[in-house]
Amino acid sequence: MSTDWAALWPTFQTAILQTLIMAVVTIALGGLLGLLLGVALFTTRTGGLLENRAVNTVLNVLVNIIRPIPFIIFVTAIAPLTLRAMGTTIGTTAATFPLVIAATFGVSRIVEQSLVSVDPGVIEAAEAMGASPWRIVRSVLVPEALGPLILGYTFVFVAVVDMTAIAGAVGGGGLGDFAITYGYHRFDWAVTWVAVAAIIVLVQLAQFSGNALARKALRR
Amino acid sequence: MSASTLTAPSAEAVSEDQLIARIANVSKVFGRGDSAHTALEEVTLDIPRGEIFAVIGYSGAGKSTLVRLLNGLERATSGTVTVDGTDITALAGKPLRDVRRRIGMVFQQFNLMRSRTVVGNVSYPLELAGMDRAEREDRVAQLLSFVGLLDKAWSYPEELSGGQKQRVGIARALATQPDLLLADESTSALDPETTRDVLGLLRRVNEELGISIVVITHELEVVRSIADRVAVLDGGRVVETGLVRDVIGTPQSPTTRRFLAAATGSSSNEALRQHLPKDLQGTLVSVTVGDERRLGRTLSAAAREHGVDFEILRGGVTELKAETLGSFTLALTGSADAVEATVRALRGIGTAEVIS
Repeated sequence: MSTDWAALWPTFQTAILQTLIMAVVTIALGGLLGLLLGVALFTTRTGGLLENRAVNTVLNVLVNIIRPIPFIIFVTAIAPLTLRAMGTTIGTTAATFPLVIAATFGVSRIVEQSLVSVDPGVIEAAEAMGASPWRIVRSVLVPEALGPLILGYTFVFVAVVDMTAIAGAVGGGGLGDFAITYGYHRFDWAVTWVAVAAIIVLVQLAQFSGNALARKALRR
Repeated sequence: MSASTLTAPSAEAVSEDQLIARIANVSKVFGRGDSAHTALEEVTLDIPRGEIFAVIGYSGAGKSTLVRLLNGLERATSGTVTVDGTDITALAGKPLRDVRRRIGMVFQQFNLMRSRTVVGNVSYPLELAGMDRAEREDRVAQLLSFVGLLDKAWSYPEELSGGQKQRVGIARALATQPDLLLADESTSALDPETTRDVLGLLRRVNEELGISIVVITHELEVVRSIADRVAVLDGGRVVETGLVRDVIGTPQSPTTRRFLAAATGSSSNEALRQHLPKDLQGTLVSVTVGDERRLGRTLSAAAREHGVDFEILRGGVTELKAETLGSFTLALTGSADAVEATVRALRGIGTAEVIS
C-alpha cells in the first residue's frame, strides 16, 4: 500500500493549523488565568503580601484536585461543562475549553514556584518604599521572576502540544487526530511519523525561542 | 548604681516636637498560645530629630523587629509608635504606605532588584511617588552623584561590589527625600574598609541632608563611629540608653560591658586581678575621661598635693563620632584619705569607679 500524499496534504495542513490554534490560544488564555491563580497562590501564603489562610487553602485544594487528573479523563469529565460553555463538545474550538482550564491549573503551580524564587528581601524593600501589593506583583514579582517564568511557560507550551494531541482523540482535530485517523487506523506508519516529525519541529521551535527569551531576561 | 538610672532619660531629654520617632511601651509577640514568642517587651525609646540613633544588640535581641516597627513592616502587639508626629500603630493600607514613602530603609543584604539597573533601582521609589520621567532622571543623577556612583548608572546589581550595592541602596532610600532613614545592619555584609566608607556616607546623609537615622547593628564599632545616641537591646528589652559617650564611658548593664569587652579585647575586673602582679599594692580605680590629656595633669597634681603614687595598668583612647573617650585602670597607692581625694579629683574630669 502506498500513501496518497497529494490527497493527505490539505488535511495535514489543516491539522497543523488546528494544533497551532489550540496550543496558542491555550497558552495565551490559560497562561494569563494561570498567572493570576499562581499570583493568588503565592501572595496568600503565610507571610505573603496578601496573607489569607482560608483563600490559600481553598486554592491549594482546588489546584491539587484538578491538576493530577489525566487530561484524557479530564476532557471527558468536564464535557457537560464544555457543552454549556462552547455549545458543542466536538471540534477544535470546543477542545480549547478543557485545554485552557487544564493549562490554567498547570501554569498556576509553575508561576507559584517561579515567584518563590524571588528574594523576599526585595519584596520587603518594595513594601518599605510604600508600594501596594498589586504594584509589587506587577513591578517587582513578575519582572524579578521573568527568567524562570519564561522557562516555565515554555515547559507548559510543550505539555500543551501534548494535550492537543489527546484533544484530537475526542474530536478536537489537530496533528494527534491526524496521526491516529490516517496513520494508526490505516496501518500507515509513514503518516504517523510525518505527524510526529511536525510535532517535534513545533516543540523544538518553542523550546528554542523560550530559551532565547529566558537568556535575554536573565542576561546570561 | 540603682537599676532606675539605667533607662532614665538623659539630662538632655528632649520635648516631643524635637523627636522624629517615639516608641512607647511597645511589646511585640509573634505567634499565639504555646508557640508565642516575645520579641520585644515594654520598649520605650525617644529618637531625637537630626541625630544618628543606634540600636545595638546580639542576634535575637529584637533589633530587626524594633526597626520594622518604625515603618510599620511589623505591627506592635501593644504600645504606640509615633513617627514624625503621626501615630502609625493603627495605620494600614494607603495611609501607612504614604508614611512609608517618607521613611527610607537600607538593608543588610541590599535588596536591590536584579532585573533593574542602578538607575532603575534608584528611580523605583520615585515611580511609586508618581514623578514624571524627566524629573526622575534628574533626581536619580543627583542621588548617584551624592553617593559617588554616576559611573555605574547603567550597571546591574550583580556587576557591583557589596559596598557599591549598599550605595545604591542608600541612594534609593534617599530618593523621596525622607525625614527618617532606617539602616538595618547596613554594614554587616561588608568588609572593614567598605564599612568605613558606607558609615562615612551615612554620616554625610545625616550632616549634609539633615536626615535623622536609626542604625541597627551588632557591632560596637558602628555605634562608636557614627552614633550620637545608643540603645542597648537584650532579650527584647532596652537595658540601657543614652548618649554614646555616657553609655560607652560608663556602661551600666552587663550587656553593654560585654559589647565593650568584646570590642576592646579587655577582660572583666576579676580577670584583670588575676593578671596583675601578686605584689601589686594600692587601690584599683577605673577612670573614664573625655579629654585624656587632663588625666595626666590631674594625676600629677594629686600626686603632688596628696602624696599619692599612681600606676597606669591598662587603658586606651576610643575615637567617637565627635570626640575621644579615654578609659584607664589605675593603681593608686597612698593613705586612704589621699586615695579618696584623688578619686574625687578624677571625678571632676570624668568618671572614676573604685574597683577594689
